[in-house]
Amino acid sequence: MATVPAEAGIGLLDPLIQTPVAVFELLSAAHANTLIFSVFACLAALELFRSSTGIVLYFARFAFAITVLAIVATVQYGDFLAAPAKAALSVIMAHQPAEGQQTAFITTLSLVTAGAAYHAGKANVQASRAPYRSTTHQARASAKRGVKAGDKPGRLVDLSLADRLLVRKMNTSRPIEAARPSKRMQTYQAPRNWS
Amino acid sequence: MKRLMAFILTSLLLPAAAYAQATVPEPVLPAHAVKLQLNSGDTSWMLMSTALVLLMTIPGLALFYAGMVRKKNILATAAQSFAITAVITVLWAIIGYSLSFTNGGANHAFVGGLDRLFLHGLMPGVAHSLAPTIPESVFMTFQMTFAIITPALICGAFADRMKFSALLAFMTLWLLLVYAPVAHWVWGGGFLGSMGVLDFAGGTVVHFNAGIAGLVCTLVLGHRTGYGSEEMSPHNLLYALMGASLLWVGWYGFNAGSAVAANDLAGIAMMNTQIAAAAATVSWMFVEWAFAKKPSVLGLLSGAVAGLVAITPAAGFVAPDGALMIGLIAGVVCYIGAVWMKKLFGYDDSLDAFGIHGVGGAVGAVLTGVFATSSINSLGKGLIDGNPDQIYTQLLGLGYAGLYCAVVTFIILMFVGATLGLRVSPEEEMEGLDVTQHGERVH
Repeated sequence: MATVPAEAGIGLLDPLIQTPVAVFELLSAAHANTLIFSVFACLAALELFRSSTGIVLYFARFAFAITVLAIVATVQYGDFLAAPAKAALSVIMAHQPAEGQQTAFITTLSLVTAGAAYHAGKANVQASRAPYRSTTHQARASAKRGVKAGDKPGRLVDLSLADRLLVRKMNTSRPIEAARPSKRMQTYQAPRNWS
Repeated sequence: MKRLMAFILTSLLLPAAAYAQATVPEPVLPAHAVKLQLNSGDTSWMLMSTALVLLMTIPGLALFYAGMVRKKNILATAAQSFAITAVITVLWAIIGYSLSFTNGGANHAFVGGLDRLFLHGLMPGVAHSLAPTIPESVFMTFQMTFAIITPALICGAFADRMKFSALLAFMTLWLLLVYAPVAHWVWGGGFLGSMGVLDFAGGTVVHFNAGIAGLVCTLVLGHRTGYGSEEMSPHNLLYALMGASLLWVGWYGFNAGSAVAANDLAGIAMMNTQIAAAAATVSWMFVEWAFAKKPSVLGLLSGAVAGLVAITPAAGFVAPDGALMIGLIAGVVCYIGAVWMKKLFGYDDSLDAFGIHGVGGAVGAVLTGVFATSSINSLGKGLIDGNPDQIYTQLLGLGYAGLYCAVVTFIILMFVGATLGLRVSPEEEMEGLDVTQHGERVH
């Protein structure tokens, strides 16, 4: 494929630094920040919905509805979160004029901490649900391979295939039969008196 | 009388002609576009090529990958290719094409602009300056199929263990931040193309890029549960064989279509594609036979794909003997990449996305610098044509693309990992992604 010539005279590291900066500038110019944020929030809500039970399900559904509204709103109002976000940032900057440089770092650190806390919380929820409880059989099977009973679920990865099947059989909270056919598959099922 | 009639007719028609000119003004074309000089032969070949390249992803790659995973992950693996096809299509139409193939103004060396945001202005009668004889809509769709298959190739690296939601988020960001700029660097008028990097159909942009991203994904996500201690052989090699066959056929569109015309170059690219794929299959087969006692079916398929990958950057620049050499070398080097290197470094590149696409793409790019000849294509002059500098240029291109791709892919993975989480839980992995991610089973 032929190429269109570009301007010459670029530094060695320019492409690696300037390319992401240019892409972000273009995304901002396209008023796509709110859209991208909303799509991510939507995916997060759906993932929470998929992996949750109980009261969290309602929260996840509500969050999903809000994010869908936000996506639809971007069609009408464009990058409507950009102005409030900038305003909030300038308020923070105004309160910390001397340490304005650190604001971005602190914000990033806070976001990362919040993400880590979310994961830790989720891991705890999964542990409390205990899908693979340590049973006598499992403990015996594990003991053969030197795995301590009552270890975290992640420790089960050390088990052999046979041991895992044993564990699967013991796991009554989530049997393999729980896999239901999708709605679409259900419509293809033949009636009971089909001959 | 005749004069009178002519006067009346002229009087009647002149305002109409003037009105027509006034109502249909000449469209103002953006910098990347030109007026279409339609060639129906070129257009029909590009329509065909576009369909062939799409066939490579769905069902080609979907079947190829689905056949190589374990039974509990077949649907999830095939669904990844299918979902990526849909998501990337939407993104490409919204902004991806514009970022890759339009004029970026002050930043034109690094990324395109917003001239085709939401494909605005993509009207009949307009062509891209890279392909003036076909409508821009056809060129856009052809390039879209390349943008689709590149992220889909990465899936081979993290098969069996990534969350579906994380996959969608990762692919969205990866297309915007990695694929679109790198495609612009090489094909859209960016600095790599201007430096003289030769990449006929995507050895660097598609395969090396996807391979490096796959390697980073593999390192960040870690091993599959039970890797090295459990049997993880392919579930159904017949699916994989069907998928690889579809890939091989589709590659005609991928390489010969990259001539963006039905001409001599397309014919040469097609011939080279077939020769290299066959040569790599043969060389992989004999190497495996010699070292592993038996020539496996999986080896035959892997060899064919390795040859196809390696000839991709060279297809329109080398003579048939060059294609033969590239195929033979690629078969051996990719065998080392997919079998020995993986064992040596201990990473779990599940379906050899890096071992075949990363290594094969790099081999192809470097060998393009060796075997390119101006007797085939005036744009390419390699070592055998008295231009050893071309190898250095090719290596520089690989270095830029690889480094940029690795760093940005790592940042994207960190971001997605912190927000959505990348991996499924060990329990979900044990149960299989078909059930846990999609609630369905294939058998």
